[in-house]
Amino acid sequence: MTAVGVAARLTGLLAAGLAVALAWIGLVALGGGSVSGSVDALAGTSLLRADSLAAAATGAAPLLLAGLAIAIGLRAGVVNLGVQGQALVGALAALLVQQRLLAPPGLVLAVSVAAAMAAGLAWALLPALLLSWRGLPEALTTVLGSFVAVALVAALPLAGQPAATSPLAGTGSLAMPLRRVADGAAWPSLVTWTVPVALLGAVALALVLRATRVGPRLRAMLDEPRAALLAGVRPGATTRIALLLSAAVAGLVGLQDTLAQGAPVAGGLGTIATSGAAAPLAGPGAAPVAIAHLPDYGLLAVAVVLVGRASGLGMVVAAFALELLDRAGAAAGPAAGLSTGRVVVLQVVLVVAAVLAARVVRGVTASHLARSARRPARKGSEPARPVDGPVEGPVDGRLLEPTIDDATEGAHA
Amino acid sequence: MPSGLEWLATPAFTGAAVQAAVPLYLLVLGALVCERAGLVNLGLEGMMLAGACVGAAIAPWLGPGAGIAFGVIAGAWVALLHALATVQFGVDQIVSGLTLNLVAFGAARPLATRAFGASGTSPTLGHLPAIAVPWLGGLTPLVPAALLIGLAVLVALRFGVAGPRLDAASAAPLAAEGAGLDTERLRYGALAVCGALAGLAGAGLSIELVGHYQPGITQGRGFLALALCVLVGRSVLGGLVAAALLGALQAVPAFLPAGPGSSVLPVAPFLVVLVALAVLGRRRVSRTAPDGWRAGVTL
Repeated sequence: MTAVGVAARLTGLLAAGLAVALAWIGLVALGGGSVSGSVDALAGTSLLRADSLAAAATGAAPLLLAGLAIAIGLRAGVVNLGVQGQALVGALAALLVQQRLLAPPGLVLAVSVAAAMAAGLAWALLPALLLSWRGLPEALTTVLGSFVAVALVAALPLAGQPAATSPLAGTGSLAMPLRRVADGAAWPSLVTWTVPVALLGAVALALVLRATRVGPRLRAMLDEPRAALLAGVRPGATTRIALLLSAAVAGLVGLQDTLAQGAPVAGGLGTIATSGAAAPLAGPGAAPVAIAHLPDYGLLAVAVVLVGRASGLGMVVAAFALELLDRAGAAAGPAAGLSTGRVVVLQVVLVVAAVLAARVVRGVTASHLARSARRPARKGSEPARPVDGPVEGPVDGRLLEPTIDDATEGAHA
Repeated sequence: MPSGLEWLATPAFTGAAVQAAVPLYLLVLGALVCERAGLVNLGLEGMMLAGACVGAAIAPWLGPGAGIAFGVIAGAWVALLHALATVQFGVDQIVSGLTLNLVAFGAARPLATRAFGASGTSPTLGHLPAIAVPWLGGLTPLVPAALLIGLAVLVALRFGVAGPRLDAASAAPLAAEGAGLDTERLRYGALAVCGALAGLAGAGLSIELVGHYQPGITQGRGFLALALCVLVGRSVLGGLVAAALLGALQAVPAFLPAGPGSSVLPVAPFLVVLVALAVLGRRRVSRTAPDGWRAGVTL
């Protein structure tokens, strides 16, 4: 990334933050509260204490996983909008394993995670097949599949109850705290296993795209399908694998909320979904959520991807920021005259500001690249290169582009 | 008629089926217009929600007619935001559509809690006077309105200049510009029409069909309509048939006795469309439209 790119992106981040601050002021003023009072209320909360931040990290982890799921597909030009359905069937599969499998916790952990991923993957099989057989838009087929899953799960009695009835719930799941502390006083007990798993996923995504040949090959497939074909990339297989991998990751999204025991999972971004009232800052011992009442991770995942621009680090920041905004609204909102419904507006403002800022950044970096490419090279200096360092994206800033046209698909088949 | 299924032939069921088809048909028409213009409108669901919420908020004050009118305006307004972002500022169509869905879902919540109280569910709304139709019972005036709109879209796309112009703007924008067409205006127009139809579908759903507004009232109808649009290709009549069939499917649960299986019935429309796509879907990797479905996503 060029210096201009970094500067433009930092400015974009600043602008998005400013937009959220302005929206806060506007909302408080509209609600008839005092702006300075709301800031005092915000400062008076325990949001920035270590244990609150740890709880926020735990709340943000499923969001990050959901964002990762979509981003994996996007990097190969696949739009997986069925995250919610895949998360639901994944949670259901894991719950079944936890209830039926009598085995040591370690084995239960492995099997339930594998079952969740397999179930998520299985839910995307039909969209993947339709994509490769008929070229049908996976964005639509996955979202239809998601609605099927939501309606099916709502009809299942098993999914309507929290998993607490299961004798094994909470043992050997991603919802298990990193370290159990007797009274939950030390903050690591607030962090579930989902947090390191999600962070590892983000790091892995960034590394695979930047440090291996996968990133350049995917970009080549999207930008120059014919050239990529000659280089041995198989577009059909690649998009199929990306969609299935994306769905497998999405299968993990619901585990923390549904299999929680003694883990702070309730509330958080649940307010954006239809699931109901905002929970207070969850402390240790929060009850697990029934699968049917999972927050709408499909919408939230899209928000995370849009704010984080489908990059590993970006989405870590985005998931944490969205979760923190929600908690800030829940903690300081009542004192400032903000109802929970309005706090969602702040998150929406963040998404819109981030999308617009990304567009502006794209324009600025593109015009800078064009100018530096036009500038004549001075004698003795290196010739002006359009991009230095590893290529962040194609010159015009387009990240992902038309994938398979008939020629490449036919040749591959 | 097998015993137990006599209700299938009653005016109550046929009328309910026809009325349930109206929002879907309006949405499919909107999706068709966008498809003709080579535009991807994933924000259809959000536009419909905007129409449903605004319409239900206005209807108690100014009456159902004004509620529907404001719903149409709300849908068109969201669509114009989409047009502004994609046509004017070059934001990716999929990104813009998904963002607008988030905006609509995020805005509908505070709007609904403000207008209808903490639950976000409106009281029962008054509706337009019903029209008595033989065999179908009392129907909302939206049924003939939707049929007329469908006819207008059919005529405009097949026999008028709108169809060829939209084709040109989507298939060969540069050539169309050279021939004197204002492609930007065409895209704005197509999106505004689509948004207005989605707003009408939403307001009609909350005011005329359901009789009240509740959070998540659209239930994926926007995405269902986009899938139907893929299924029927560019046929307005095909859209009518598909919408009618799905409308009948959506009307069934209310007529079945509550049993263990009845809670699964809402799945049926989505499942049927998925299966139909698998069986009937044609290979649709876009050859002509540069902004087709496979155009990837620019974040």
